Amino acid sequence: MLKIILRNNFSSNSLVLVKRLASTISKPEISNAVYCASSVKKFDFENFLCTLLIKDEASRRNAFALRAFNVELARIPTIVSDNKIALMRLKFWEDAVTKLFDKKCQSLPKHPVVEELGLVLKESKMTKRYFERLVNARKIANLNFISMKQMEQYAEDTVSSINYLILETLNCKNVNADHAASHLGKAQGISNLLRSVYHQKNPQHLPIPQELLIRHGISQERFFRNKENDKAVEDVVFDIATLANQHLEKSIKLISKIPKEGKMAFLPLISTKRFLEKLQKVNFNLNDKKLSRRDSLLPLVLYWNKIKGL
Amino acid sequence: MSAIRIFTACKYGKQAFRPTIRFSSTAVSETKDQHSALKAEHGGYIYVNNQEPSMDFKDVTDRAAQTMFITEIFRGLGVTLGTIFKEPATINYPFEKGPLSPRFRGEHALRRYPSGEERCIACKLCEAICPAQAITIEAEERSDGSRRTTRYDIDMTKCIYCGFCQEACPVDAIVEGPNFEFSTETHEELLYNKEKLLGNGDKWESEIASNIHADHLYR
Repeated sequence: MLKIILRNNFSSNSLVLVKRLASTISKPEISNAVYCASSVKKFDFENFLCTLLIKDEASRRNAFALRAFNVELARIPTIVSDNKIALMRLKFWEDAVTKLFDKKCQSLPKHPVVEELGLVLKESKMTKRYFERLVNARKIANLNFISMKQMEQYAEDTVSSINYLILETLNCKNVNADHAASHLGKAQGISNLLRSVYHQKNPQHLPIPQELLIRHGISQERFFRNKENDKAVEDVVFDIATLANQHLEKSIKLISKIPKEGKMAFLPLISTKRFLEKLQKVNFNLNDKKLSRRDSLLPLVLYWNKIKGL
Repeated sequence: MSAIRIFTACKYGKQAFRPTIRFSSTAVSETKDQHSALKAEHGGYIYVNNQEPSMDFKDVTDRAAQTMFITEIFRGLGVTLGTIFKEPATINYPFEKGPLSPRFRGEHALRRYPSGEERCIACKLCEAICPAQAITIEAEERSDGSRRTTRYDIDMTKCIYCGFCQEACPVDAIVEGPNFEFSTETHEELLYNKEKLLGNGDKWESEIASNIHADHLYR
């Protein structure tokens, strides 16, 4: 049933559909699953496509719950106007995680994502540390990194943790898989930061490491000035993209050593690779119109890679 | 009397003769010499006073044509004519609405999940953060163990529409919707209770649920 709902959820008027289905089925868990899937679809479309291709129904549902949890956390800094308010909201999620892992706790907060995670944790065993890392990584007030290491660490905390958790739902316990997931997370996280440079809510928050700016002898101002063909800015973007690409390549090399059941967690490789290639085509100009367009071939490419076995 | 007359003649007579004294040929040549000396010293000077307009017949007619020329009038009429065919800048207000920012903070609403369950979990974060202390919440546990509000009041006359409540809400229950036309005749009508807020949520849900989609997370 869930499969049908998620497939139907593809249509544009998903809200109406979800409403109708939720009223006819009247099972609260199903509507929670639909809520998770639609929030991932809305705010994290590329990963939605990747998660949709996980074959096992239960694992797919779990993966959606995890991704929806990440979406809720990632949206917080983009909504609030003050970091203290963000901390308040993160405290809610911190408490929710504590309650989820507390066997004695009877009443979970009534949030569809929390309830869905409750079901996930009943079925499979997961590491609490990754959940905590996801929450704690968002507590920083802004993305003004000093060094490249900090940026990598942020990507590792926010994206790799999700990858590890998805590997856990797929029952894949393998050193190589974890290693590849770490590199994939870094590549994905760094390229997401690059894509979001001109979409930050507060334009003062430039997610470019200061170390790199100093090395190229430019100020943050140059990014905001946003001139055409600014060679120094493009060089900085190139350096960051190179870093992401290095992680991506390391991850691709490890793919052959990963057991079959875990491979579906590595579909985001394709979307990240396609983004980096597109960035290269526009000469590392983040402002290019082509970059903001949705990759319409991505679903087909992902499906082909799934059939091919990555 | 005659003494006074002599006095005034002395006083004003001096002034009356002064220009002739100044611009007498000797004086002028003297000043010219001075100027040329200055010019040599500073490498040229700029005449900053108003230039006398030339009074040649041709120049005078040109000036007159510039101010009175009939094409200016036609050009003005052209602008008027163009504006007649343009779409009006004004709108027919109560029937037509102007554009609103998606971040506009208007009348409050309490949202529900698509399943019909109300979102609010009575965490009281909005009550805590409200700088005007306009929100009052009372909560108790339901029979199914979930915490829900029994009372959720907003004093709309205290509210300063800062939007902190919607920022603080971890479940996106309280939102400031796009409605700005909720004026009333009495003060009491602006003391909103939970029913009114939930009703607002049902009424404005389609506008509140934003249609912004993102390919990837921004953080």
